[in-house]
Amino acid sequence: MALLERTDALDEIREKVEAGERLDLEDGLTLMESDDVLALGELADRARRLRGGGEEVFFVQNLYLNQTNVCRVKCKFCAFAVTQKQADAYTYSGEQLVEDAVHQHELTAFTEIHMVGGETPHVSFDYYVDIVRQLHEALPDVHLKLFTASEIHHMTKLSGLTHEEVLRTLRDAGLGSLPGGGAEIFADRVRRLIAPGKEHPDYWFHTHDAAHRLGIPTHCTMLYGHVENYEERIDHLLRLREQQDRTGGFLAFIPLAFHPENTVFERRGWRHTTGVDDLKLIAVSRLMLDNIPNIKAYWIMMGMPMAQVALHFGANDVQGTVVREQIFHAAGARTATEQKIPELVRFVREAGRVPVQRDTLYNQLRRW
Amino acid sequence: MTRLGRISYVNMAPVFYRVDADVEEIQGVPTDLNRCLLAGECDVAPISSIEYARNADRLRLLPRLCVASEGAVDSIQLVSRKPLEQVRVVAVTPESATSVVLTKVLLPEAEHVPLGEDADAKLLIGDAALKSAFEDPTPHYDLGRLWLERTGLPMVFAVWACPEPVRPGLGELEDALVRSVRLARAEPEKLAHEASDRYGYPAGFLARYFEKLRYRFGPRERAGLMTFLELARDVGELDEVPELTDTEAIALLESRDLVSVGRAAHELRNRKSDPTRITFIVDRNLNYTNICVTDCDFCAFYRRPGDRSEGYLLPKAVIFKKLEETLALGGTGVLMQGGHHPDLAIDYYEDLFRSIKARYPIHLHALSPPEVQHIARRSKLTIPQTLSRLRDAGLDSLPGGGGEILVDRVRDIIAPKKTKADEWLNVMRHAHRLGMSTTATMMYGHVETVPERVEHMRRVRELQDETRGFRAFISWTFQNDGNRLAAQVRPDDMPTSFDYLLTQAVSRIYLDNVDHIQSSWVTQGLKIGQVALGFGADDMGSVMIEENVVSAAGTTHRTSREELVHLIKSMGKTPVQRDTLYRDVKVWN
Ligand code: SF4
Ligand code: SF4
Repeated sequence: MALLERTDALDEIREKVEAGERLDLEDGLTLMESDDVLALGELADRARRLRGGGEEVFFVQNLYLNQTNVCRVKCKFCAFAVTQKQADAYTYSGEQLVEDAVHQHELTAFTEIHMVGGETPHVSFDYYVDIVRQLHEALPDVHLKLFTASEIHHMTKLSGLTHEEVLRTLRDAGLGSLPGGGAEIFADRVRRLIAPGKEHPDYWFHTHDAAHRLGIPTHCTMLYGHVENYEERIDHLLRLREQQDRTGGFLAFIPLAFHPENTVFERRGWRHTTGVDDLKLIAVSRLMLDNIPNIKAYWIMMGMPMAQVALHFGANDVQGTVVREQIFHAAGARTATEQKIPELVRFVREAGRVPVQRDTLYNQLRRW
Repeated sequence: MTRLGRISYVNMAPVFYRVDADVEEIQGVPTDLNRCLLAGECDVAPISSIEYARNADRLRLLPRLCVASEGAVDSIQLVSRKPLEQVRVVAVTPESATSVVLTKVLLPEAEHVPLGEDADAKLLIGDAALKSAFEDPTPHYDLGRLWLERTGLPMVFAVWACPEPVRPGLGELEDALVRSVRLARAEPEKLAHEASDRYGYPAGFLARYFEKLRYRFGPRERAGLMTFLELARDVGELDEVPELTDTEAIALLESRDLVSVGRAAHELRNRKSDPTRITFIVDRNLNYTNICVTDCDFCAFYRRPGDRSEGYLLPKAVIFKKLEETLALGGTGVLMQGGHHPDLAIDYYEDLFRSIKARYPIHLHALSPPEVQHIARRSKLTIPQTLSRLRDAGLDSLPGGGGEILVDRVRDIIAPKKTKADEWLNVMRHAHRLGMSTTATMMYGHVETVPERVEHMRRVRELQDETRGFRAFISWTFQNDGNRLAAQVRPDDMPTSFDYLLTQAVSRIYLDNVDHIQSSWVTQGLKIGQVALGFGADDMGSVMIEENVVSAAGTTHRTSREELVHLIKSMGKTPVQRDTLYRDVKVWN
């Protein structure tokens, strides 16, 4: 007779979760190594509820912009960046960005602009300050969530200012929060392999630390499914958790699965993460990150079907209805670029949860 | 007034904490209450799980209540000086039938004698067990814990049942009992104190005891109950495991408890087929013609007779070439289906099958029931005549296509000219009788209701009880593109992957007599297709070398054998390529 699958390895972790105790590196590895993904889902959902999570699933209506696709860094996983000389290179002026944003705002009434771009050496820091100010003046009620830590670091190079000074200047011009990109995987070994041109991860933390201390909330991410191992994933999560203990400014964690298409890794025969990988990572993030309130199942990356299922594996946010989005699509993410609110609402409801439209700071705007 | 049974044990306290309903309580030990219930002297009562199963045809379950524990329960203890493996004789009390059977399931070798006689160990239940744990220093083994260690599931000791015919108003009574449990849970100290006054244990002890008990009859509890009953049957304590009722299946489909239902399905799947393996098949879907007179609304594949630009009938030479490619690629079978071509009668198929079988060692999995029916009509033969002639010409097995939803109300809307439910089942019945095994399918998420999905599954389960000819069940969601049915399904009603996983899980639980459940990566994509393997499926279906019917409706998921092997391995399972009859072809160790 076939033997039943046992879940014993998780028993100890279950007890810790029930008792509200912190999970450590060992626990994280046990979770990653477990093949019982439904047990992980159940546990993650339990942890979410024990920490006060309810039936709400959040989304935001936002506009994605890229101010430039010119980038000097050349990360190996990036299918978005070009050099200044390439025909499809662009760097938008403040006026161009404002025109586009105002037009889109009339159509969709988004509440947030999410803008990131390449690290172009062909502009000055003033360029960044100007585009922030112009967007803020044109749309004062819209929250500006702009620039990854790498871009902030790049601006310190352009300006000779410290991270704190750059952030303060941008904040005074209208910056509301930072997105979480550029984190990739913090472990040195991995960074050397996938993004040797990128600054040391200490700068990522330094930037977010400074932002939190200035009262600028931020987001954090992890790009997984390339060369990293389980230990490096858990290490990444633990570093985020420590930072959050210190400054508490992370609003949400967003795991991003690596898409090999159109990157050098495609030729090497790299594969996509599997569905089980994606769900497992959502669950493990929720369990490890006990001090970050929101875990996003980013449907643009995962696809709506997986994001919907992820809501039962610890996620409580699906990111949002999106007007335009470029980085992932250049790298071949196969999801529709626009997701209409009614459809999103239906997917969330179908999963037995209550859809809530939020603003960037997780204030509820509308509840279905 | 409703007569409500109450076991005189302390574990009932939360259910009876504040019952806001007009009832007459009938107190007794479990054996008394079982008798009352079966004699109709009581309208609702808790009944031990095994007694319920032995009388399932005369009882109906309350869908939301049970008494269960996940792990230690305290009130069922095996007291033994010897290590459990050495116990040969157990003294048992007849008071609780379920505990006696559980002892048998856990220690199948040991003989049972009445309490008081000489034995290696004794089984104590209820208050005696709780007291003994305080007073007797001999090692106590908690049966709830042993059960969890053995199965990974909660142990359901009792369920709530009412005798058929059911008295009206029991739904409200159940609501009242559920509310009472909820209230008791919200005031644990008060509950413990009141119970302490009534039963005489320390309140702190009772508070901990109640925490270990579960009263919600959720999907995992159901899986635990089914597993217990199956094991009880294996040790000869039960003739037959009661099936999931339609009402229960509907309740599961309407619940949003995805992970719990999935885990329950997964546990059952692990009992049906090797939990360490995931199988798949390499075969070719060969659509020999797309000419069809049937005009199904959901079909984007067919062309009307006379369509010279897009209609086709593959010449034999092309079919042969495709079969050769299939064999060269390591394929073992061919799935041949096509439209209902007005010119093709049985002699065409006999000739085609004979010439294929004369040339190639390939499993011919061909002709779904509507095609068989079409051939029978076209050739003026009965279904058994048609099938036996086709079998003699080389047909090995039948695919389950055209099942859609086996309810004529639905069929009249989506495919009015196609085989009716009874006709579809009848073709399958005759195929099974002739020794040909088949699969069964379900296409849902269009105009059917949830009860109609369950009715579909019931029709399949009933025929399976009769013939045992279905090897596997495959369900998939309606695909929207390029077909007329899409216009009748509001975009808001299009099925989601959540619905897919839930429905697949329920099909595993409901179809207890079908061996295999296939996930449908072709319609759901490889990610959900893989995730579905944790929701009751044990097979990934086919690496298809050609798939015209589904891809014409807009779904263009493709895969290779290497990709499936990778997906299965990455879940920690052994990939196994099988043939159509589920025999191993290649194992990736
Ligand atoms: S990921 Fe960002 S930093 Fe790296 S090359 Fe692309 S745009 Fe530049
Ligand atoms: S589904 Fe089959 S029977 Fe219906 S129209 Fe298409 S080919 Fe013909």
